[in-house]
Amino acid sequence: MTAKEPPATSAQPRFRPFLYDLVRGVIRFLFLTLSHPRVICPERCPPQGPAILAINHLSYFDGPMVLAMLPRRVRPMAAERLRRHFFFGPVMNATGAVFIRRGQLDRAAMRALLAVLEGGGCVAVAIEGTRSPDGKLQEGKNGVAYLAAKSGAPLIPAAVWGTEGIWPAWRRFRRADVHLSLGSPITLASRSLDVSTLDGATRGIMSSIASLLPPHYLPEDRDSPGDDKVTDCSPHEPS
Amino acid sequence: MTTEAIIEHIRRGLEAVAPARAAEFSKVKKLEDLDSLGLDSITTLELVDRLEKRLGIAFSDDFLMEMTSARDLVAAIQDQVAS
Repeated sequence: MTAKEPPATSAQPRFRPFLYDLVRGVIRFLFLTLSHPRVICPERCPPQGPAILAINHLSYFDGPMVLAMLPRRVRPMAAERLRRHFFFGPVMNATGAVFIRRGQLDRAAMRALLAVLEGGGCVAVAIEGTRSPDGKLQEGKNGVAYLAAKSGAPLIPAAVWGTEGIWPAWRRFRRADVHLSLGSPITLASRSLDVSTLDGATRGIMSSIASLLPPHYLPEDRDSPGDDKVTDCSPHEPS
Repeated sequence: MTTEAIIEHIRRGLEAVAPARAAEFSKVKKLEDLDSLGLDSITTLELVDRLEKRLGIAFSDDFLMEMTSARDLVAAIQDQVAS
């Protein structure tokens, strides 16, 4: 077990579609004016029905980028400590984020995520569990595969990059190039919850994310498999 | 229920959750052995679900959040089975 996070201040925030759409609109406007966002294959995210976006994690901006740039409502999963962040806390609360206490057995949060999926919603989960300390893709955790096996929802591998450069770019009055690339949806062959099956599923998802990322985001020991490169859709510049 | 019997239930639950580690789990005899297995939260979550179904008990979410060792889990099972 890792260090415990502070106790939750309250239950999961209530999802309010109107507030979500309002905040999403503001975030989207900020992204479009203060950065150069590029979304690759957004159509790979099913427009409706349950779906799990498995994203890599480089920056606090990853979650807002995903929910601002995809053409459907996405409920992000966030670390409990972000609930009190001066900027991201209100954003995450307003977008109905599901807060989870890392390193603890947070069954209530898993139940909340499953409830979103059962209701036909889409959740975004950082499969590595935390931000990458060195900007390279880390090992995946089994939580995403567990959610997919429990719910039967399709998984969409998603790679985000460039978000780690947003603050440094702003400090120089520049706009960072930020990217979100979606891979082909994956439906797990087995809904077994045994660890070996989950490990295998997690490796498959990580492999798909690795294939979407530029090579310099991959650790030395991981080759880009290149089996999910974008061939049937082109980059989309949101407007 | 004795501690040994509960450890046996946990061991069987672990074998079902992670069959690939069955040989390792077969050596579990004491509480300390369970703590040294290095189980991740998803494995523990699935183990807890299976124990609840198998033993007809229910752990509260708050208890699971505060649980830090196998001793906590065994004590909670003993409490629930006794009540």
